[in-house]
Amino acid sequence: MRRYLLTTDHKMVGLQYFWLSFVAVLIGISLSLLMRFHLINPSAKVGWFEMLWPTGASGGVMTPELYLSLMTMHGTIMVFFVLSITPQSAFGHYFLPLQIGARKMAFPLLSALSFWFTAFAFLVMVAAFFVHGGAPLSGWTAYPPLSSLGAITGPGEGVGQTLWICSIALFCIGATMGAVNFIATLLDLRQPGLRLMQLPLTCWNWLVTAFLSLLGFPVLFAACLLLLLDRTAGTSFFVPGNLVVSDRAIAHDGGSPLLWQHLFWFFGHPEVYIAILPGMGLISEIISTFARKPVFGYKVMVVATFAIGFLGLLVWGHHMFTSGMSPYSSIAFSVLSMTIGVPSATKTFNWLATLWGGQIEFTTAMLFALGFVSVFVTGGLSGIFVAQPVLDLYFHDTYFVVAHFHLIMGVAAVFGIFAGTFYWFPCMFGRVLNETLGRIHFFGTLVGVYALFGPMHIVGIAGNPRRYSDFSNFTFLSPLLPLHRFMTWAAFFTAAVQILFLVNVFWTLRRGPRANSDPWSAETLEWREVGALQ
Amino acid sequence: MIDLEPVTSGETARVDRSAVTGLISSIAATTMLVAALTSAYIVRRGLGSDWKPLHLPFEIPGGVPLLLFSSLALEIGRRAHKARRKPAFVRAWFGGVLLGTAFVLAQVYGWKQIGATGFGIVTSPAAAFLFVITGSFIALVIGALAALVWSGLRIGRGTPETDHTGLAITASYWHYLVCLWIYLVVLFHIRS
Repeated sequence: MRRYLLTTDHKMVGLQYFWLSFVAVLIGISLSLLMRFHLINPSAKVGWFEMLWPTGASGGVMTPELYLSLMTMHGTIMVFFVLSITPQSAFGHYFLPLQIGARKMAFPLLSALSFWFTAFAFLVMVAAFFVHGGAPLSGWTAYPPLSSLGAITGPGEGVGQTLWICSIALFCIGATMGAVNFIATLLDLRQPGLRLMQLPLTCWNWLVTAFLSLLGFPVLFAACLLLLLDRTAGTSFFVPGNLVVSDRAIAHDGGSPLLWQHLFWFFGHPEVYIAILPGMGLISEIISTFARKPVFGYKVMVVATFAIGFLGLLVWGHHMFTSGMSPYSSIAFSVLSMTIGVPSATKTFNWLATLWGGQIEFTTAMLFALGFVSVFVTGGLSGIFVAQPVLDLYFHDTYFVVAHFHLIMGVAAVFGIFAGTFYWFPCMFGRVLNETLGRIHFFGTLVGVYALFGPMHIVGIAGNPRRYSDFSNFTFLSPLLPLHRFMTWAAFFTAAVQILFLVNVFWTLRRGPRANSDPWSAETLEWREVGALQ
Repeated sequence: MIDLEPVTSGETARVDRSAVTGLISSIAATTMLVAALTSAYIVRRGLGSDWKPLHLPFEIPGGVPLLLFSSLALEIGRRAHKARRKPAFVRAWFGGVLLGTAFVLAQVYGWKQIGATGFGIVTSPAAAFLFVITGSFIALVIGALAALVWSGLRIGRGTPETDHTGLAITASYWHYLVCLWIYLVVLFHIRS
């Protein structure tokens, strides 16, 4: 246990991140199921709701405040503790040194510290459920003034919101440490003779993701610092004057909620690429391996990765089209946002060109990689709509946006994680996951997520606002309730399919077939390590 | 001026190069943190009618010469170590650390001066920003001072290359902090 806790070994740190995100995703998905259940049964009495949340579900009926706190925690846990850490920190720590022929990360102590900061941040975040008032209500974006005024604005806005801010600040420190480590490792610890343009695309994507983390997380940390002071020290960085909340005049004056939005989204939009870029690198390698062809247009893929990263830093304003920004700024942010489509499409066509004429082997990892391409394109297409200021005025805060970002940022990244897990499991644990279970899991998940998020676009186009806990009192939304029921069943179906994955992982860990030195006949250096161990 | 050239052979050469890359990355992260805080300061100043200009206490610009001299002392110390003059190294290096500590104490005194003039963190957004930005800077300085002391004390315990790397990296980060403080003083002076 001591060896495990105090380790600085990059593989062990990678596994620590992997299992941390494993726990996080189980919590995150469970919260989303509770939300979906509530949306179609807003007045249902569930006994154990009251046991878990005595005030939030008094009498077993979920209150709107509890719904919002579940939504906040679902978004935060999934974005930070699953999508940000699994593809980058878990897989990256484990495989980056192996793929470049290094024995360790550049700063092993920093690897361990980054993990423990992240793990502690996770504990602080989850602790928000158990404090007086419960978890915060303000969403994963924590917009002030809701997030900055304390318990007066809602039950979770007291200690729960403070814990949320502290957790994110801790996460920022861990993520920044990780970024420094990744950059130094990749640039300086490569095996002699291994040139940059010979690196697997996974490494390039980890590098660009590390750059984005390095530039984004310190800004979020600064924003959290200011928000924390607004809440605890009475400053007015983000709180405007003349606010009256619950019949009480608020003493703050002169601050600007938009200031928080600018700082948050300067991090928040690159965060999308922090989640998705490592998956892009990974599926490039997987498609190449199972098509038995080199990646098509390797150099263009590298340039496209940097272009996505660079442009991703310049487009945060498209999250704020409805904030009253200048139309000229809107146009600039809009054009830049749509420009990201060019390198993204370039990557997509290169994946297709890699497949073209290949001897394709449909392993589970390959299926998830192809699924990644599918949901990435679907989510990307809806992105073109919300990148238009005029259309975004309508789509903003509707389920259309929820469907868009879940597909492109959530599901695509999760498909990348599944692809990576099936592909690298033999390397990480010495055993091969069951392919039959894996294929059923893949097709079930693919059908499930499209059944869930496809109709969500229609619901959004119909004007269904997000973040409402109960639609039953709105006449114009009542025709959409059957679709909501369908989406809820789809969500439960998708979650049920994940049980197959859990069974597969834990059964394989104990009794799965041992892996040979290179079960996929891949050519990257990490498989040499497996061979050396046997 | 700073001797950061990597050693070009063997395992220690790798360690040196990654330390330099780590330094540059850390500087980038620190720059983003300070850029976020100071851009928020500039934007917030243009909002609302509650912004009252702040009279900067002497300790804030007075910190510049303290930091410059500490930087100079550290550089002298680093070169003395390279020339294997240990007493000169100890005097200069830890002299630089003392000057840095004096800077921290001066800023704390400066905060008290601001508080005494009636500008508080709640009543004055200008004072709130000054406290937050200089407070963050002081936190960085304290971290850097700890690193300077650590790298100074462990001289002779590692290889010559790792000693050299430790001194060069910590001193370089300190020089960067000096530049950052000059930027902050100019910003506060222009905007006060």
